[in-house]
Amino acid sequence: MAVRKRVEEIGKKRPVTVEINGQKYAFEVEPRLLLVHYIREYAGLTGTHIGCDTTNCGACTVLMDFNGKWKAIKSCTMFAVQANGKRIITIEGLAKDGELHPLQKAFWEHHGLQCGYCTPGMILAAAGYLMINPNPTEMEVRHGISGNLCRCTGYQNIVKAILAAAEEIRSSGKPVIE
Amino acid sequence: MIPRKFEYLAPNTLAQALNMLRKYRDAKILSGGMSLIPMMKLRLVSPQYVIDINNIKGLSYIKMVGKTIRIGALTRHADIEHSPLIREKLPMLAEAAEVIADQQVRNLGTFCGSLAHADPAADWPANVLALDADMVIQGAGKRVVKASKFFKGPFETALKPTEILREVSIPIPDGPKVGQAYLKFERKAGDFATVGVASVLVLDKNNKIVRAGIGVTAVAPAPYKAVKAEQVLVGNVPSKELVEEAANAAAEMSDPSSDLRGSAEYKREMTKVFTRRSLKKALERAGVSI
Amino acid sequence: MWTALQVLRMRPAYGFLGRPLKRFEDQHLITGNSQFVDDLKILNMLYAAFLRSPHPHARIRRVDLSRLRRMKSVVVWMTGEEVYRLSKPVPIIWYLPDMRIPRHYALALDEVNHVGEAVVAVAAEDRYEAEDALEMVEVEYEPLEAVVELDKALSQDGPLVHEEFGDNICYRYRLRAGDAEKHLESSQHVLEERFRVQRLAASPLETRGVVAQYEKSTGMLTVWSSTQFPHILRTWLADTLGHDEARLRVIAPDVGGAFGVKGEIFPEEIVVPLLSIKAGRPVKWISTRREDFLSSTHARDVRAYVRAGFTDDGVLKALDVDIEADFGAYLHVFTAGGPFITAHSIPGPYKCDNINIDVVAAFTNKVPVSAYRGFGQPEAAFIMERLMDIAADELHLAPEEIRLRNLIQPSEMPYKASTGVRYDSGDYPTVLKKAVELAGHHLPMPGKRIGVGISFYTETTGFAPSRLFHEDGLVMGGYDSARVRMTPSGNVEVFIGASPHGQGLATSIAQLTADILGVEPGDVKVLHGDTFNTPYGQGTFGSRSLAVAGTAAALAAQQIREKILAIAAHVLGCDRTGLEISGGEVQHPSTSKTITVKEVARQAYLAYNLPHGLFPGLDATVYYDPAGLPKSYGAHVCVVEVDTETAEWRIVRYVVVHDPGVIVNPLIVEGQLHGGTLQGLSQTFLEEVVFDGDGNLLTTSFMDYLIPSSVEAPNIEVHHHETPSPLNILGVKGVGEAGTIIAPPALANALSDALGVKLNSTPVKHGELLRALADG
Repeated sequence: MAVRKRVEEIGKKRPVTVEINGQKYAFEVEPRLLLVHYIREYAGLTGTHIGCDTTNCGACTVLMDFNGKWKAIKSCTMFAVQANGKRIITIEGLAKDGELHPLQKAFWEHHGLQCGYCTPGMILAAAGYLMINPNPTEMEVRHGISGNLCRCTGYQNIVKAILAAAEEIRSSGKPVIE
Repeated sequence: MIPRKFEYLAPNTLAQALNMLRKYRDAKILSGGMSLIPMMKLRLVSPQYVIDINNIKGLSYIKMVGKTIRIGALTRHADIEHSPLIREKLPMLAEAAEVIADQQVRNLGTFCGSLAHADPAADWPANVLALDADMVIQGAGKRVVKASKFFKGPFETALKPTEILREVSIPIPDGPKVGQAYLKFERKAGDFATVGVASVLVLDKNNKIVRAGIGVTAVAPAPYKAVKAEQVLVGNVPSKELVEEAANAAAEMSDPSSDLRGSAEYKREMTKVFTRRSLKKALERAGVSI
Repeated sequence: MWTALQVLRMRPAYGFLGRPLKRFEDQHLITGNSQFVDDLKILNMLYAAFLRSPHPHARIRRVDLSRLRRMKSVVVWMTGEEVYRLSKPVPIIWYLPDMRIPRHYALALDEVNHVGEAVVAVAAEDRYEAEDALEMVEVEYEPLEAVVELDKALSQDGPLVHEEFGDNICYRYRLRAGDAEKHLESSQHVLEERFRVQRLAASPLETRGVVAQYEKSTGMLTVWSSTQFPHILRTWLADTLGHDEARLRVIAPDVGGAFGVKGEIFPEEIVVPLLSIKAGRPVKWISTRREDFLSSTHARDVRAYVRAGFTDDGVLKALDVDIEADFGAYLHVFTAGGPFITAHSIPGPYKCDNINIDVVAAFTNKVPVSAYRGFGQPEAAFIMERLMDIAADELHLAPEEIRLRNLIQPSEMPYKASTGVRYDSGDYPTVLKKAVELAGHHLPMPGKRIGVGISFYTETTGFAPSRLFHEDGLVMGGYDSARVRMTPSGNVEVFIGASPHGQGLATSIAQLTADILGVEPGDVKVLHGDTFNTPYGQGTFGSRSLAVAGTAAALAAQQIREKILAIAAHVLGCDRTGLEISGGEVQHPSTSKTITVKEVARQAYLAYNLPHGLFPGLDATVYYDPAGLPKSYGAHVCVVEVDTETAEWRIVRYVVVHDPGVIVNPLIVEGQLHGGTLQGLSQTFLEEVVFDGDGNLLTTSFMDYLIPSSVEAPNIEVHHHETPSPLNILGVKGVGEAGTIIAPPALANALSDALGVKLNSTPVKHGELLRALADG
């Protein structure tokens, strides 16, 4: 295999501060560190998973604040340095005061998970989508989570759970993410 | 699946970014990162310098200037998907945005980044070709290249290593009857296109086609403007036969390769089928029945 | 003594059996508190990475590791030579007569036989550095001619994968019943068809991963692995590494899906412990997705040539089947079993007295294959169900009619097939008729065509018993085990030898245990995965866990129940007969005397006032080896709508009527069918592992190896039909593999019907449909 000649100093560590689930984390990291590894290995929040190398599976989905708007992104396809100064919500930050988020409740209620590996990413992708479209049809939900692969459930109960959660969120009058 | 080491640069102005491009030869611009980062993870590309342009203010916009829509370098796919202005003036782009990858990728990936990356199976190139867009390139100076002159080959464009695609300016199709459509054939949701066809038709009051733009992706080494098909259409009143002739012409211009998405022969056939359907849809939207 | 089933059935009004309870597994999974292998962090842990062969077939000339020494963060490394000195070959558990076994060590010694075969392992301070280190290793290869196509592998004069064998045959196997040749000659209709089922990759969302921690002072080696069978892994690792089994602990933590591919013993599970022993530090290895495609076993990859004799009335008289299987380069734990199971799964739910089956399994320079959901059965079901439709067409019979004429009848149960395969219970014709009726009639919209595909299956479940395993060449037991322990405060722990990984078995077992012990399911904690606290078991695969480990748990719970009743009778001073447990209380109906189960538990452990001869405590372990294999069965009806211009299609209706025996939790059963069916459907329209002509793997990511998203998934209507299995006291059968077995022909039949073609090969490519449309 070809070996690249490299300047030793390249890619030195630099400070990166990220607010995750309302808590500030600050670590010195290499520029090449992927955000998902920052979350899992540095911040120690292992609820965010990794399922592929190519931005296809969505297991690493988290919410990121863009100018006051939460959006779902795949944290395996962003460098941690890019997230410097940003706010993030992971699966660990979804339940508030011991109360499960309506999406978490609905996934449980409707058997929307089997092995549970894709579940955190799936729930956050669903949250991201419901912020775009709070009253979706079944087909819209299916398109909304098309970037998240599940190998166990056949998606049927996931879709059911998201529709039920959407209904509950609408009737509660609360935002998807408070 | 870890990128090789690199130096991260985060300029605050476009001028700084361009300076860095000139200074560091082995550098890559990072905008949405949706193609660059996976390629770096697979170590298919390993730039020594990554120039992250996300901190540059004023590059994310969709605005109407005269008879054009201008889209800035940091405008995300999702911005286009949800823009009321786009939905009104260039609905084809909103339609195309919806079928690019998935929600999360659309939240980060940029319109101009995708065009500059020039994946031969990407969706946007077909659209800018059909719309006859101007690609606004910033280097030491500013220059404008027609979309039809921009795509040179697989992952190859008119951009020089020291230049950035800073804006795309799209003339709004105008006339008595206008129809646009982007149709993509994919193996599964979010896949790159097996074939994608963008059609823009402008017809006069008598249903004569006065302008036709057809962009085709994924069935040639580079996306192409189906000029021969456009020529078939312009000056004529659409009919089933005319559409068929145009579809044949578009397919004739294709130069697909056989791969996991199918044989060359099959892709050529699908180019015909989807050009036909794309044109029919554009006509339908223009309120013209054939 | 009552059977547990009788106990369970006595209180349907209060019981938990059959209720759609929310799963106890879920809370930690939905809140991000799960513990998958990659979530484990140990102080001083190193990260391993594997350098893999870029060649399908090559001699290793030289390995240069000198540059690793200069890398500060690289701690240890290993080559095939060292592995050869320190370990035995990669284990095999399934042996067939006269099977050839290629030399296969955890790292390649002097020859590589598929792209992705591990050659060098390194362990560094972090995973980034470990991956960098691989680029510092130089391996000089001398490429050899690769055997890629199965035809080339089977030809007399082609190149050889393993030179020492003289040809590329792994084994041949024959199955004979009756006189197939004679009956083919005398049949009024003889069909000749070719079938192909492509190579698939199980692709659980969590890739494989291993953490090994060796403590030198105690000699203790702990291995966390994303595995389906921790006990089997421990036994074989002990043997392979020459390590004292009592000082080897294997833990399957949360496992993110497996589908059979993690019921294997992979090279990395051998090398990571060796690296940990060498470094004296914990070592973690997590497969990337790319590595998963290159190194986890693939599946299926079978062709079949079939001659089938039918009478004018559509009765199947004889079958002659040649099966050719592409095994890839090596044999893994279960590799040999695949085509063997296919042979024994023909003719499935249908009667046929005259059968010739010839299997040939061959080596190629590709990634090895092994078990994947359905293992061998989907291939058989595809052959039989396509065959039935083709015969129906030829004989002008409705697809359901020809099936009804051949299905095993309820009056014939239990049925023994000509090949020796046994069928325990069920009413096949009723289930088929119900499915067809429920699917209804569909008329095409303008510009569309409608196709209806029917398929019927039997699923061999409850993979056991030990005697049969031995007869079939498996070097493992078929039993499983459970230990039920009620604590002094009246809570219940169930330790099982099976190792579920998403199936919801902990909930199902809690439900049935709660019913037997008269407590709430929430009071029952089911534990699995750790060889230190669970009794020995074979693991979770082959739709076996509820039927085998679940029955073991029921039997153990029953022993506890008997003891509770004995103590209660003693303490209450009443007769034991007539005592009942429910709602956490033991009641004596005629005297209205009661005592709480909690109090009985306390008494059992204080032990000063026990009936004479009774030991203290409430703790029972049962090893249960079933009498046979229960057969689940069912019918799928798939209705597709095909666009007549583009040949694009969608499923407009998908009906499942099935019989999995007694249903413990319908939510879980339906979930298994939804997921399994989608996996099966995507065999027919989406998934395929592809090698190029030179033996390079083209599908190494989810961009190329496509698994379906929510958009491609249809809604699946599931209807239950329950016939208790006579083979276990719960009356349960398995359900895990049903969907994957039978969905492929349901869709292939529907598309064939819509387009008037014979789609005998999967995946069905869109181009093929387009051509069919063009041909009319």
